[in-house]
Amino acid sequence: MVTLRERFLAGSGCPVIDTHCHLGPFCGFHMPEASLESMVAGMERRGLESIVLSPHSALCGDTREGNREMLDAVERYPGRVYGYCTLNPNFPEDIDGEMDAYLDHPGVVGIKIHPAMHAHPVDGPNYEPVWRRANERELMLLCHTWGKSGGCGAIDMRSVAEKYPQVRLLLGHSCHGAWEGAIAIARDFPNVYLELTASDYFYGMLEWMCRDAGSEKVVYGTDYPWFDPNSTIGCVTYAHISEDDMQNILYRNARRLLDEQLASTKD
Amino acid sequence: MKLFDCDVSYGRGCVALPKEIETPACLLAEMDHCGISEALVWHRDAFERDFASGNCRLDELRDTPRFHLTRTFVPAESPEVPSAEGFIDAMRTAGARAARAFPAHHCFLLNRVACGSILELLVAHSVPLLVPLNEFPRQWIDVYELLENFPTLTLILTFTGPWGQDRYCRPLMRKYERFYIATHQLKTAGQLEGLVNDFGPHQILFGSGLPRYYPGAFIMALARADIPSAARDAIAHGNIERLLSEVTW
Repeated sequence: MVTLRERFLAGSGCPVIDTHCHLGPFCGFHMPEASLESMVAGMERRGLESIVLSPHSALCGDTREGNREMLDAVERYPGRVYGYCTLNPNFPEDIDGEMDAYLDHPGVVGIKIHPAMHAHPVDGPNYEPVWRRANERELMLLCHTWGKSGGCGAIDMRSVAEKYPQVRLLLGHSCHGAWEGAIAIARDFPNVYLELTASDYFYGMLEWMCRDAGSEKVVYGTDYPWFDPNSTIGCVTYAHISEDDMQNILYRNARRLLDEQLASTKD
Repeated sequence: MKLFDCDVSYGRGCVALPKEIETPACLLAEMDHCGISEALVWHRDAFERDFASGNCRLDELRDTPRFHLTRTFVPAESPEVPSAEGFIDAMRTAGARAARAFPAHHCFLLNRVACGSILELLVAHSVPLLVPLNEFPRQWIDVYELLENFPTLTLILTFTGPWGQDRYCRPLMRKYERFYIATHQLKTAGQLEGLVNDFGPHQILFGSGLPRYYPGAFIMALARADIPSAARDAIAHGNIERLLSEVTW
């Protein structure tokens, strides 16, 4: 019987959805696949069914311009490219307006926040309207998380998970470095997920996540175009986990999240 | 695709990894799981406990042809190292064909003043030297200075970080034909294709950092990369085999 890994090595495995992507150039290094067209071509080559992105322009520049770039990408590739509405707590006067403008669009599936880059703790006052709206509407919310504390670490994320239990919270990078804490949050809260970007390649990580939180709580993400989606496919398919677990991680969990989100937007 | 991993280790260290590989048998089992035929190996004692202890631990691998030994050094001025010539003789006797150094963790400078005698002999015998980037205190600055002083040193840089290497490593690849980068974290989308296109495959070596990282990450990326088959094979095994065959003993 041909394994899932062998099928990927041969060219096509199972569908894959990437829940943590970006778009456009970044100051720190050259990304060969930064443009939207090269990303979509890259998706084709690698067998990615869909991605969910927030542009670098939204994170690093004027968030309003970045969200417009996000919407343009979503409208050009409906069903392939979905978007997060990025919100910057440094400009609280913009937050409600940005959420009003984008969250009802069928291709915008949730919210992206980056407490580290935007230097505002995840439970800080300027994020409160974001959490309230996300909780009321049961939105997907991808939050950059890193470490044990410091504004977006495991301790901070547990606090928001407790306060806003209806948010479909993706722990971006799975609190990189504080994985024990992240895994515990995903285990303890039904709507919290471990997103793999930058935490995927540590030997034994996938086995640990599946064992202690369940593969249903792990979602594939890569920071594409930062990182090659093939690399994370390799981590998942070479891990000592079942193929059922692999398919949950690579596709099924994200598909379920997106379908639930899209259905609620339609309503 | 045949795979020769230029950087794997085993042994229990002081801080547990998510999954440990403590014995040669466990290491072989994981190599089999990943389809890795051969590997350049070091023992974690060489880094965390003491370089000489780590070197001695590798004696247990001598009868396993799939394992290729490395030998870790500190400056020859240090009393534990009899002399630069003595270190080289010990390498030859042990059957090691690659050297390793951890200057930051082991508290020395990998430069001409501290290590010149050993480095000159490594150059003379074409012995590859593997060093993690974060073991250079000033990181890329130190790498640039090292190669400026030893331009024909066969330097294999490992653990270069998951992003941002290109602007540092490309000028070195252009200038020093014996500068190599291991693939541990060469994971930017399109990066491998770009490097192969601009430089050819000859300065890129498959290295996983097992048990720190999943070998499957780069194996899958390499297998599915849009590069010629010959380039894929060079990176997967050909380059490291060539380097080890060039060692003059």
